Amino acid sequence: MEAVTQMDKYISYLYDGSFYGLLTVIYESYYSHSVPTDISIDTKVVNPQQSFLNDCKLITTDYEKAERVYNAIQTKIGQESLEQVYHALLSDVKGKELVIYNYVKLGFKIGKTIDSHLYTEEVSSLRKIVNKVNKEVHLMTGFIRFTYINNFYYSIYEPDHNISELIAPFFADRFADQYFIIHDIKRNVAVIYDTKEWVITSFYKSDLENLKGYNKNLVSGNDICYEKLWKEYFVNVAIKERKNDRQQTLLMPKRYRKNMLETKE
Amino acid sequence: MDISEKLRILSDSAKYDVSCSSSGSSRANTPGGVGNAATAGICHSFTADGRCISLLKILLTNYCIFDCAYCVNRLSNDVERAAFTPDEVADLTINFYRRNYIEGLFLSSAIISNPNHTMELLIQTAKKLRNTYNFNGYIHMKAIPGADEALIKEAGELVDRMSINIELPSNDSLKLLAPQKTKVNILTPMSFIKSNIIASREEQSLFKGAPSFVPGGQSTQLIIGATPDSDFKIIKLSENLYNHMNLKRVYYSAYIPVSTNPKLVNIKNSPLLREHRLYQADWLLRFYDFKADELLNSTNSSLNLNFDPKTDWALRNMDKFPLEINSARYKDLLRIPGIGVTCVKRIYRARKVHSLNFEDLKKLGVMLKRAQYFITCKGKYSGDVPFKENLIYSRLSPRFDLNLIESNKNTFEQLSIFPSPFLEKPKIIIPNLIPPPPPKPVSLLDF
Repeated sequence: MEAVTQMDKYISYLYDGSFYGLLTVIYESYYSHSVPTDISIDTKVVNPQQSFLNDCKLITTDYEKAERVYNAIQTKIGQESLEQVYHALLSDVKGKELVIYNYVKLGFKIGKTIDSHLYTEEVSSLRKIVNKVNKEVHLMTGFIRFTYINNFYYSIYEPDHNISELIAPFFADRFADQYFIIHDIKRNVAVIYDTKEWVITSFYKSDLENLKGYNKNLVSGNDICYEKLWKEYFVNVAIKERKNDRQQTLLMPKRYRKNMLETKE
Repeated sequence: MDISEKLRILSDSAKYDVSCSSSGSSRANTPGGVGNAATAGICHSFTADGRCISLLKILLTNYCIFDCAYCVNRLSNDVERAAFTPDEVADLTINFYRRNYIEGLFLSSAIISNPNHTMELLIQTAKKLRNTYNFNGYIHMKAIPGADEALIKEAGELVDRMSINIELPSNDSLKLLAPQKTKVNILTPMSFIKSNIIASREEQSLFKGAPSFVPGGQSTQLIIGATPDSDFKIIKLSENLYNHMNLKRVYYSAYIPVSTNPKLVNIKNSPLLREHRLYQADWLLRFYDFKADELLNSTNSSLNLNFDPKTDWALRNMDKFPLEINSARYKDLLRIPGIGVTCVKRIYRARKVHSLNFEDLKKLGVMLKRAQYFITCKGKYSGDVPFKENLIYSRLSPRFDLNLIESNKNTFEQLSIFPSPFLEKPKIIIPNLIPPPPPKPVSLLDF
């Protein structure tokens, strides 16, 4: 992209929160020679004061424009960068859009070696966000707990970031032969897998009740047995002489524990 | 006896085995099967002692014909005994696995009747999982010393990792504490597994679909502090195991007094800090290209508890520092205290496109607390004290002399009449330039 000139305008952008929406913002700001001071989802403006002072522009997602930016990132910066940008957008970090914008802008300038420029604010900020997301994905592959209900396995979790679509392939591969639902109760979405393919869909607690049908037993009798065994095992394998709560909290943050069988109240 | 009772007894007996990793193997799921093994390994939970639960770690049985002094399951110990059937273990594993509690199974056993019989039971369990349940998750199995090679070979083709615990780092200690085990008895199956791993890798590179043999490699465990073996002896042994036995991991387990055998060193506190330092030294051997002889030698044979082994090495080799971040060789960057492999890679990558200064390093996520004293950026040294050996030494020293504290902990409870300057007068010990000499072993004869 070209250097900022005096002609540049400072604009606060609003978009719909989608990946293609953000790509459209990047397209619009590039062709209108404007510098975004803020990019937020149109329902929750991050910095209202700034939006008030600046011009505020609502961007409607345009797939054709988005696709051009998509292809440009892929060919000029690289596939890896495109994936990083996508993962960053799934994060719950405030101001992530501007970080992505700045990264892409620098990427167009530098090209394929962008990720070697780790010392720049642009690359280092993006890396931090992407690391947070990827770290949580890894943790969740371990921390998800399924309960067996009426022939399917059900799990609830509340991840910091919107990672459902990132963990889905892992579980679909591992538990290829079992029906499962992984329910993000914070965002009311779920991964549903039917032994052939997985989908992401909006999902509410009432949907689970419907699925359970007339069977009011949440858990089959057999499952209570394995759940009890697991809880006992968890307590039993700790070595009392080595008790170390600090280490435990560091490795298994408390906010995740309420949805884990062995640690929930 | 119900399953719950058995699980309690047999997980209790297995928990002192510290190996928990589920890494190193990338077994794919098969059509109609369940599970896979992730190369990086996955932790599923963390217990109150801060250790990870990755595998369901249990003994098949704790009925043992051996009488090893350090072991909780020894014949002469009065503990509850139980035995699982192979079917029970397989059922438990698969049901825990399907609920995503675990990454797989870590199956060990006491020696019931004889080594071959024990090994056969372990194999039956693995077969049930692999063949009946189509389980493709991780299995770590103990090779029972003294079992026939044919059985070990059969087991190796079913599992991801095998291990034989050396437990005691020298032959003398072994003779004293585990008279039924011998060095030969342990090392023979270990080298048998090693040669089979090499052979199967070769076969697999030649024919697609050749059977795998222990794809996750083998590991072992050493008990720390139950015998007077020095750190030097221990890391030297580890180095040999890595170089000559191709071991993937050596685990160190601080001895927790599970018995009061007069043959054992009498300790009240397990040497957890010493264990931690040994792990750090172990990492230096495996990932940082250090040699055991660089870290310790026969006269200086214990790891300094005040510093991590890399810092300790650097402080003894100040002539090699400060290193210029922008031009030092990769293997020298690895030797800077406080900088790990990930950061070295980042530095290496970034400096190809940009000459790095001190602020840039912060952006890269490099921790400079210790590193600042050992580096220059574009020729500029930015440590918060001048580059003088004694100043840096005192900046990096902990507030209290940990070597002294740790050694007092144990001598005190052994001989309460022996006076300690530390407990009488709790004061901040200002470290000298020369590290304090290792405390003399306390014995009644010195008195």
